[in-house]
Amino acid sequence: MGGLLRSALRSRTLLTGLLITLLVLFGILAGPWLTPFAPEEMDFINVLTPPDAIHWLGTDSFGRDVLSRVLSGGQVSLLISTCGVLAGAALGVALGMSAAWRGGTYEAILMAGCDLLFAFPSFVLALFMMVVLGFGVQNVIIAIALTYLPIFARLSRNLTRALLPEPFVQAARLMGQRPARILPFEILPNILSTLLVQASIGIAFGIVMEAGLSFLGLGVQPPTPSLGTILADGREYFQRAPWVLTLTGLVVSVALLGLNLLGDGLRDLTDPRLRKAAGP
Amino acid sequence: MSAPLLEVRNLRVQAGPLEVVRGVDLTLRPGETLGIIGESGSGKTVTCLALLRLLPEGLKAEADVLVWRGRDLASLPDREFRPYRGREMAMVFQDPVGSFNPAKSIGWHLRTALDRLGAKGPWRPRAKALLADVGIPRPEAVLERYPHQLSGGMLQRALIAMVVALEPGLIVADEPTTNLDNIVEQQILALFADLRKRLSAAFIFITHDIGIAAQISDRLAVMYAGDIVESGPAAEVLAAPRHPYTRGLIATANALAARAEQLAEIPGQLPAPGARPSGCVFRPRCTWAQDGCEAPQPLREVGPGRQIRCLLDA
Amino acid sequence: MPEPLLQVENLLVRFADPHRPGGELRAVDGVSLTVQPGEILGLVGESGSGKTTLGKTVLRLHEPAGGRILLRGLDLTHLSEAALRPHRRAMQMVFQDPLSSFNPRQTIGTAVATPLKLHRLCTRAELPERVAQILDEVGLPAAFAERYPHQMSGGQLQRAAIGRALALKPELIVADEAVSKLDVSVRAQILNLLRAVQARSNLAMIFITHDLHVARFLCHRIGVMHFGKLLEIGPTEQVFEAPQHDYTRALLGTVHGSVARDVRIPA
Repeated sequence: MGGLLRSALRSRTLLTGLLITLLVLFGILAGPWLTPFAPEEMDFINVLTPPDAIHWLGTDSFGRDVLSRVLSGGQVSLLISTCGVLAGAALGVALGMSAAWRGGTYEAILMAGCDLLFAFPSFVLALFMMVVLGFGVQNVIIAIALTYLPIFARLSRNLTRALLPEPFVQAARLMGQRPARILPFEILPNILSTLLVQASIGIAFGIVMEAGLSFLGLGVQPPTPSLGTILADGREYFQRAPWVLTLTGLVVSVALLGLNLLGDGLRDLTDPRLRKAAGP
Repeated sequence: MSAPLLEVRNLRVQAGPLEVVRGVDLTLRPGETLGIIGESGSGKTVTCLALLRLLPEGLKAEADVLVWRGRDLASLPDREFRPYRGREMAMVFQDPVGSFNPAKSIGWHLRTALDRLGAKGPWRPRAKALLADVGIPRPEAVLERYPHQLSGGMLQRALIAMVVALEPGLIVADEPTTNLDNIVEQQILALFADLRKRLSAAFIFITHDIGIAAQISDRLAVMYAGDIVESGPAAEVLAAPRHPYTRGLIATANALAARAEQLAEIPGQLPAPGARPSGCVFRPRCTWAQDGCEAPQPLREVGPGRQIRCLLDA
Repeated sequence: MPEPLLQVENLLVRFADPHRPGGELRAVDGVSLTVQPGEILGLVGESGSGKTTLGKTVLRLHEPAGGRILLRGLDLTHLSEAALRPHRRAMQMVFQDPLSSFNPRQTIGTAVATPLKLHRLCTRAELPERVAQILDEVGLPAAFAERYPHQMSGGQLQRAAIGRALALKPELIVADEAVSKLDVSVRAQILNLLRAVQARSNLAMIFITHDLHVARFLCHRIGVMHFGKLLEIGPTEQVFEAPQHDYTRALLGTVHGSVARDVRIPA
């Protein structure tokens, strides 16, 4: 395992991504203790103040500290996105891998279902689901999960199909291993790196999706701060206080960059064939 | 004895800190065929790619002496070397598919080669004759074909026709039959034998199969882990191999042919690049290893034109 | 004649033709053969002759379109994957590419231990010792159990692959070009090993190869395949000395023709 750590330390992409992600995570998790203001605390004397030494990202129309709100809202957004993507990934991978193994009609129907979902732009699909399911946090999670389910199903089905003719999979069959063992133990570890990359990118886009849905008023409801509701607030007085929208957007972008770099770095790291052989 | 066509002294190829080829000497006379025998990682292909300046990125070649037809090529910049490639020295690869543009017909390829030669007059009859010379039936139809429409053997023949068209002084063939079926392999080997008689070119024939090298070579060079370990006239090397590695290879081939109960084996594994032992590289697998083998071994003259990198019978 | 271990009757395998949409290719076209216990049957032929497909279909890694496969009289042809599982143990395979026959994420020790655990061939406590013993049987030090596939050479991996197949104490091993991707100086070791383990445990083997020298060295009987058909089959000497089919003569001509291998190299 020492080799793994050494490769990790050598990868600049991974380290940068990890650093940004950890910083963002730290800010989000420790936010309430880092800033002297509570996210809901109103201060009608200091309304829409520009960024200064006290309010780093300024205040909004109720005099609430935008930084506190972004950190607290980030927590909500990240949680929603992660839950959604993980749920979609878990179900999607299970369906995709079983489709690749069983083939035939089962696979054809599943993949046709995926194609159907793919036919809609993902945000339109999420919007449609919100309309069907109703508003609220739980339904945002379901909408994100259902958006990512076909992506993970198709990806894992293609990856699995590519591995099925590999001699090591055939050897596992010849040993008498059941598909319930071959799929998770022989195949999954070999496709996990690609799935991880997809998941970290997925979480990044899940945050965007949550922000979008909440921005439109379909997701998290005020006064609970989420990145979407903060952005929605910021839009209303963008002319007078542009920093609320732009700086919040910037924070979101940095977080997304971190997650993407982390995903790329992880992919390189978890593939032993890309690592330098440890020698005989 | 005629002047050498090609003279190489101390050719080294490096991949970063790794020495892939370490100090290879080659001398080739007009019309001569040199067989280079080696396994994966022996540096046999890299040596030839270095001669033609076709090394992939990351590999760097250096030589003390590199003289072609009396002209020093070692100091020649890449730009000025370009006319030599194809016209003077040409290469036939293991996988002929990669040597063709998949979107162009066989005829287009041959015409391009003939244009490069500056040939006058209509190209078609000449191209047909070239294809016929390498044993392609119905050449006029094949001119219209695309690479993917030909079998591996036919494509290898077409590639050889393209190479021959440029009338190079040296043809390097890198395992040209390895991907082919047995019967086709023998046909391509027969074609090479025929070319050797017909053309004045010299050949370097790279192979891992000592039997094939024996069929086609005037002289043999045996490479192991980046070094030439034995060289000499083919008949002598095959009849009386001196280096333990060559002895092992020939003993295995003989035991296989004689259907012995047990095959003579060379113990151990090829050293991984970067994990080569100091001194004699074959030492860890050698039955005759003795005191002194831990020192680097020079290529020693042991007879006329006969060299080994071993201190046995010194 | 004792009861054959394996009987293949009129086997037919069809594939979709990649060059003709909707077309079909008969990869194996009505092949019948038997393998006796403890016998090495060589399948020789050129690429595309169907020899590998035949080997894999016998193991039910490909689905036959017709004919029968019987192992000790038991018809395996139409058994479901689940019904087949208990019988899989008797038939194992050694693949051409030793690197891809191991899961890149598992150590060699795990790869060898998995079949033992799966079939409860030893207790959990005995496992490390049994793995070391299997590695030893194929000439690998016990420490190799800790290695990952990419940390081993082709020859070492092929030894481990043979060990993994033997762990299940099979009656038949299908070896598909098991030495052709190995370095020349390592091939002899693996051929000697295959012959030794075969003799030691009275294994039957289907040895698929394009290398006629290797086939002649190792096999008791030889079957010659061409475009999915088994042209002829017989004792090795008989096939080599008195081939019945013109194609076999042409194929074997490549052996006798290569004087160097038989004549110019002195013993």
